[in-house]
Amino acid sequence: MAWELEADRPIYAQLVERIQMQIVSGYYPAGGKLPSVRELAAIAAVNPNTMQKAFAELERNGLIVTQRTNGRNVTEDTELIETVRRNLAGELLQTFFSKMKELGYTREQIRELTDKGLAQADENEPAG
Amino acid sequence: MLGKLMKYEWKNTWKVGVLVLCCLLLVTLFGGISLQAPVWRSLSTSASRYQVSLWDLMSIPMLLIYVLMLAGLYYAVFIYLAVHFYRTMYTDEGYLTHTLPAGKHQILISKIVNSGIWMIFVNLGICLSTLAMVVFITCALKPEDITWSMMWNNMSLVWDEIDELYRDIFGISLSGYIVQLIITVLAGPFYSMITIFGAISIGQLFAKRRVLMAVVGYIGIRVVNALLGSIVRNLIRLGMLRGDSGDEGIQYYMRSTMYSGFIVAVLMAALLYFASYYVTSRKLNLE
Amino acid sequence: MSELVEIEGLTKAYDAAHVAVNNITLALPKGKIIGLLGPNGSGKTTLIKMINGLLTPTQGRIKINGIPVGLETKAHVAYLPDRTYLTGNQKISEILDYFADFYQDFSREKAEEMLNNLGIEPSTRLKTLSKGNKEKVQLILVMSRSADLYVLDEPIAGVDPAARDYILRTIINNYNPEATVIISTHLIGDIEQVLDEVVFMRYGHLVLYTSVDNIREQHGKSVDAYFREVFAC
Repeated sequence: MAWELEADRPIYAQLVERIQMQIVSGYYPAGGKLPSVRELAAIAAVNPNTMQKAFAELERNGLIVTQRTNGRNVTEDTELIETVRRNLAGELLQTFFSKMKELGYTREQIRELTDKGLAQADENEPAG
Repeated sequence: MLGKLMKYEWKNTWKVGVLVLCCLLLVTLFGGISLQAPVWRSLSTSASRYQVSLWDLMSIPMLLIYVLMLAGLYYAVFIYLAVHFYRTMYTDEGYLTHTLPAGKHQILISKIVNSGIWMIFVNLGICLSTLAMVVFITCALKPEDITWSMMWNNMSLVWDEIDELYRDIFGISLSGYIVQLIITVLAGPFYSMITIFGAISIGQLFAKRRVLMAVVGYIGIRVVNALLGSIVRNLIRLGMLRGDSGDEGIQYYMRSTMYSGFIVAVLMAALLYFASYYVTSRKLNLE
Repeated sequence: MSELVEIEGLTKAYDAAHVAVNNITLALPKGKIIGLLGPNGSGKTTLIKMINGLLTPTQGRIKINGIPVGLETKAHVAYLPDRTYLTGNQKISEILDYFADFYQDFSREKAEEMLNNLGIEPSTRLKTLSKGNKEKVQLILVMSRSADLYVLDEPIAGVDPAARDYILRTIINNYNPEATVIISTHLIGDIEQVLDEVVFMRYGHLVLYTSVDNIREQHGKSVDAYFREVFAC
């Protein structure tokens, strides 16, 4: 299926996030080969030029390396991937906290709700 | 490119062409059967009383149907080729034709040549069919005591006889007449196709009712053709009279008709080819 | 460096009351996928037919690669009309022969591979195919050419989402990267993520020519939403 993209933000930024997510989640493992711009554009059903722009952005921040003979690979630098992962998690938490604060919750309440939420998630999703 | 266009024109039309030629064969057989009625044979025997049978009564209408079917087949091919031109040039299929990297002259010529060749085949077929009918009727009328070889040997006599007749009446030899006939059979089809294609193309100049306008255009062309024909014919006759070429009566008529027909055909063909070219290259507006 | 498509003062008037394309001037670059957007009857198809030499402009000029529309440009423009120009009696293989004969940039292997992926045998006759497959065959023929300009008139009108994805993927996978693709549609939401640039038309006029990212960055909304706003009436 074509990737679902949000309507109100530049597409290339969304592609960057999407691929970043696929890399940190291990869908494209460290050192693994990436599809070509054209292939990935076709899978996502987006413009190849836009995909190219997203790849360039990811190259700039080091998650993707271009090898002259071998196309594009995910970086082998697991440290870097881990950092990106931590940053993404940090951003999510920041958003979460600020939203919860807007709702008027205290630190204690937030911790309580988080624990409860996690327990519930475990129940809904049995290990295995 | 012209070769490729011709190849596909042929590919797209040969089935219908062959079908029509097969029909022509059947129609000729049908005509031949009509001449097998006993009444024909009775004409050359001296039987004084002849009882007319139902078979004999059928013979004349069958001959009439034969002639109508010949004409019908001729016009069927003509109309088929005209419709084929219209479809591939000015309907949805025209979207492909006119986006090919081929010049408009090449496209037009490929269609005119292919259609012309098919019309020649049909014309030849009709000639052969008529010839076959002549043979059939000769068979029927030939008295028993005259053999085919006798008739063959006397052909040259007959030829000379007819030749003399032609010279006397029309001021043209029989072989001259046959050459003229061959030219008509070979060149006429191209002229016919250029005329109808021109009319169809002229129809495209109108915003609406383009097929109707093509039909009107075709009738108009025929009228202009006839008018021009008579003008040119009379001019030629005037010239002949003034030149005092020694021709007389019906000979004037034959010659002037022949020349004027030729001149007008060439003129109209050039004009209508240009019309088609102009429409396809400068005024193309597919719906 | 001149642009790929140069349109200058282009007008098509069927009669005084009906001006389908009204004095459009526009230059389109190489290597872009460009949406030609506008409601039905805004003049998109008329413009496209003039680019392909099927309609004669009342006024103005169109050049492709600096050459006026004609014999030479047709060898380098691949066009998918909004109708079918093939006849039902033809076999697929015969249609492939035809394209291979006339278009030097046509890749028969590419076309056969794509047909094979759809499970369409070259020996089948066009008329036995479903409507959707007929349209796909025509798209495959067009996209198997390595043209400078692809002009696709409403390629996704009236198709289901799966077919739409197939069509968009076929376009993206096959167009020559140096080339420009013009896709006309009135269903903007369905294709805006494949577009680099958009041309808006209304009542035969050129309303806007800009990049998709521009619209998203400046107006903070999708091209589709922006389009609805501009054309609200």
